[in-house]
This record gives sequence, structure tokens and C-alpha cells, in this order.
Amino acid sequence: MKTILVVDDEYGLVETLTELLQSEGYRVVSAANGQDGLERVKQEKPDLVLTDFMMPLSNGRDLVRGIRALPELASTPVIMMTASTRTVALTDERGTVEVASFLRKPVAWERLLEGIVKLIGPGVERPA
Amino acid sequence: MSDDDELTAAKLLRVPTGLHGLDTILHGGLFRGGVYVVHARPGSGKTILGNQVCFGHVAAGGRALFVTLLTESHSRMLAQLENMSFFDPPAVGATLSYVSGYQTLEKEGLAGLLVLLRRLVRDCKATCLVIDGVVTAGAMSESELEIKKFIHELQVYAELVGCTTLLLTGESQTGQQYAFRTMVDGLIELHLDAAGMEASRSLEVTKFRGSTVLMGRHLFEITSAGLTIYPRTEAAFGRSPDRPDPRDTRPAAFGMEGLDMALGGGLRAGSTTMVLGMPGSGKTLLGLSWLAAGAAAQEQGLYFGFFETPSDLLRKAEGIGLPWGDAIASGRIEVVWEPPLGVIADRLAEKLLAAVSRRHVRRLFIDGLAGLSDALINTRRSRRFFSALCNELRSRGVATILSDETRSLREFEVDTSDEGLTAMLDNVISLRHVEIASRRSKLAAVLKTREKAGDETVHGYSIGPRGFTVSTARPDDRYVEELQREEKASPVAKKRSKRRRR
Repeated sequence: MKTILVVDDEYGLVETLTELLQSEGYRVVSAANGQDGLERVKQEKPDLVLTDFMMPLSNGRDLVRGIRALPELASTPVIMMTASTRTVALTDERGTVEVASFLRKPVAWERLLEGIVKLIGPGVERPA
Repeated sequence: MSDDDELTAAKLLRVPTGLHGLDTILHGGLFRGGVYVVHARPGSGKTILGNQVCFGHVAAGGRALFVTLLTESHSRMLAQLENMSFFDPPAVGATLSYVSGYQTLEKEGLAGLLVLLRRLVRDCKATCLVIDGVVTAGAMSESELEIKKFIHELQVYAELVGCTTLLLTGESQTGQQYAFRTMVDGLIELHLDAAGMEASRSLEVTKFRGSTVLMGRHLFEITSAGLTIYPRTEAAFGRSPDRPDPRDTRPAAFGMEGLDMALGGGLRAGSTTMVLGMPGSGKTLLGLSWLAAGAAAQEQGLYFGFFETPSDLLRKAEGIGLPWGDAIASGRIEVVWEPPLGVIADRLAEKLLAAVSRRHVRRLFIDGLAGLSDALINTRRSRRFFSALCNELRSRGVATILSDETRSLREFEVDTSDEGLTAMLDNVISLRHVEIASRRSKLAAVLKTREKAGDETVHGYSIGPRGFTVSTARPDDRYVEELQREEKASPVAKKRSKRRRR
């Protein structure tokens, strides 16, 4: 079963995304900030990380940078969600982090699911 | 990947409610995925509103879910809706589902209800959710915090899956109301107020995140078509953008030499003219003659009246030789008759403006002002209502005549039943019957005109089988002197003179 890590400090969103992703056949684990998120990446080795940008302790950009620094997990696809209207969130004085997709909140579920399926395939493999 | 297109894709989309007038008030509808409260006392129409939104949504291709919490049974509710024109039996159970959430709420609380709602929305693929009886959910919650958490999580879910949600609620405890009001994206209140011996219904959007709305109360009625809301005329048309002057600047002439001369050839396109007079002085006949003159000049006219039926008008017009029947048959003149029986002024304004647009009307005769004023309910609106309506007609290039009864028997003065109106009038024409030296005479005067310096002439007029005619000749001097003496002695003139001295 494919695993998705959802990282967001908004509890209601994590809960809702968890339920929706589970209903699509994915295994879901979660964290409330970038720091915890990185720990969960090391433990769970998810197929995809879905993260918010603005979070306490450590933001989404730091999380992506942490993931890219892990040799065996550096290629894990990341979808970042943000309430910001601009992509500058990906860049700081240390450079630009690489994400698979950058979605503006409020995120439309159909669009998000479409992006996830494109990156890691459907949660439940349907017979051909 | 950094993709700017992705960032602009999730902008807030509107979902029309499908309710006449409400989408105008909301400037396009609710926001997709928003959570809104409809708050009202019992009997105010909130359940009809909720159902109407659902049926409108499925008729537009969406899917809807109506969840009840300890309200009337579904069979009873549907039986009552069957008479509504929006009710579509094949939709029920197909694209519109009715489910009771009360048992889940009772056994598992708000958390359980939330799980149920998420599952139902997902299973029904609902893009519109209405929860009726939310006050029950509030009453069964243990704390205000629990309600807030419920609403927050419902909001997150609704936003994510794009399911626009309406929570229908009645009177509730203060803490619950506060929680609902602060958390949701919008608050729509339905009011039911006493207006003398009658009752008036109004709708007010008191909160709406993400957009401006037409503020204040808007009257509505409940008929077999459901809720029909009439945005306040002054709110809907109060800020009409300036439009270019009408291309056709020919004055709308009466075809009566005396009057046309005094008015610089007729009534200017976009102008508003009041015809004042005592009952029986000929106000209606003057207006009908003006419309008939327009029809003869191939101009579209509209008679919008309250007190005389179309057949009465026909008899009256043909009695003075006007080809009224022909003008109606040819489509040059349309008669709209609205008996003044508890109608909403904004509905009248809407109907009037629609009739003007439909036929590109150039001449409009509103007979009379009292029919509109009486429909206002709140008379303090009068000035703003008429100002907005006249401005809208002005911007559409329509020459308008309003008739009104004067309260003064003796005076040639602007004395309308609506005091707020005079400032916006371009012209005022007064019709009087005067009895001097045992002789009863008809006199017409232009009391105000923006076209040129005021014409002080008093004209004699007559109404007969050959029509309404206004003479160019002044009445004889002895007659006018007598009239002036009488006016100076009248109580109204004395009061006016006292005001001037002050």
C-alpha cells in the first residue's frame, strides 16, 4: 500500500485529508510541523509528502531541504500547499528547493488527487 | 517545480443560489466550498430556502444533500414542497438526497455527525449540502468550543471537496449563535416583521467573507415559486455607472402647443416630470395623450398604472379620440396594470425596468405616484427609492411622467404626496380646476422646468372628444388677477410667505 505523509499544523485539514486519502486506498501518516515531518519521513519512508509551507518550529521549505539531504530518500516527491499567491516561498538565502507541485490553498480535492495519482499512481490498483 | 499557473488555479469560484434576487445581493452567489448560516425564526421560510437552493443546484447540473436534525419528517417536508414550482420529483433520490442525521448526533455527538456528513457528501458526490435544524446540534454539544470545532472541521472539508454548505438555524442560545456567527463564511438572516396589520418578510446578509454584498434588508415574498427576493431598488441601482447621453435627443412632445412651448418642445430624454392635479383634473388623460403622441411618432411607450384597469383606460382614451386600441395592437404602447394590493415597491420597480428594457421604451407614464409610495412599507426610504429609480430611468434615456394628486385645492405650487421627490424632478406640470365668478375653468401651468427659465404663463386647457388640448393664449387679465388675489389670501400662500421672511 502506498504511503503518503501529510504535514500541516491545521488539525482539521490533516484529519480531512487523511480520511479522503484513505478512502482512495492510500496509507496516511501525519505530522504537525516540518521538524516532526522529517522524523516521520525517516521512519515511514513515504511514497509522497504533502506539506503545508507555513508551520511552527520548521516550515515546509526546511522540511524539503531536510528530505533532499537524506541520500536514500532525496527523490521523494513533495507537493507543497500554501496560502501565499507566489512561489517565493520555495526560495531563501540558501537557494531554491525542488518540489513536484506547488498548490495554492484552498486546495481543490480533485486537483490534488489528480496530482498525487500522476506522481505515485492510484492508492488502490484497479484491474486493467 | 515552481509553477505560477498552479498558484492562480484555486481562486474562489461562485455558486449561484438560483434564488431570484439573492444572487444579485451577493454579487454572483455563494463561494464554492463556503459554509453559510441561514438564521431565522420559525415560519420565516428557511427550510423552503434550503430546499430551493438544493433543487436549483441539481437543476444546474450539481448534486445536493439535505440533512435534517430533529426537524419535520422528510415525507411531510416533501409533501409540502410538492406544490412548489421548483420541486422536481425525479431529482429526489437521484441527484438530491434527503438523510436524517439525528440518530448519529444523539449517539455519537458532533464528532460522529461530522464523520457521517463527510461520508454522505463523498458517497453522494454532493457539491451542495444543507443541514436543517442546526440548533439541535448546538443544543446537544457540551461546549461552545465543541461547536466551533465542528464548524471548523466542516469548513475545512467543505472547502477541500468544494461542497457549498448551508446551515439552517433558528433561535438558539447566545453562545451557540456567537459560535456560528464568528466561524462561518457568511450569515443570511430572514426577518418577519409586523407592518401595521400586515407582515413583511425581509432578508439581510449580515456577513459575507470575500466579497461585498448589497447591504441592508431586502423584502421577499414566498409564493409557489418559493422565495422571491427583491433587492432594494436604491441598493441595486443606487450607483448606476454614468452612461452616455441617449443618441435620440428629440424632445418627447405632447403635441399640445401651449405645453410644448412652455417645455422647450417637449420632455427631454431621461427627464422626470410630475403632473400634479386634483382628482378629475385630467392627469391620466394628459399622460395617455402624451403616450399616444409618442406612438404616432413611432416611439415605444409604457403605461404603468395602479388604479385603472386596462379596459377602463381604453374607454377613457377612446372617449377623447385617442387611437389607444390601435397603439396597443401595434405594440407601440404597453399597459402594465398592478392593483395596489400589498405589493412590494422593489418588485414594481423591477417589473417596470424590465418592461422598459424589453421594448426599448422611450416614453413612460407612471400613473400614479401613490401606487409606488404605498408599496414602500418603510416611508423613510421614499427619497432614496425614487432617486434610484429616476436615475436608472434617466440613464436609460427614458422620458418619464409621474402623476400625483395635489393636496392643495387652491394653489399652483409643487405639493406632492411625496415630499422627498421634488428635488429630483426636471419638470412639474400642474392641472387645476378653478371656479371664479361662477365659472369653472381648467388651467395648466409649468411650475418647474430645467429646460429654460420658468414659464410663468398659465394656460387654459380643455378635454373633449377631439382630445386634450392646451391653449397658447393666456386666460384674460381679469381672470388672472382674480386668481392671484385668491392665491395670496390662501393659508398655504401665507405660510410660504412667512417661511420666505424667515
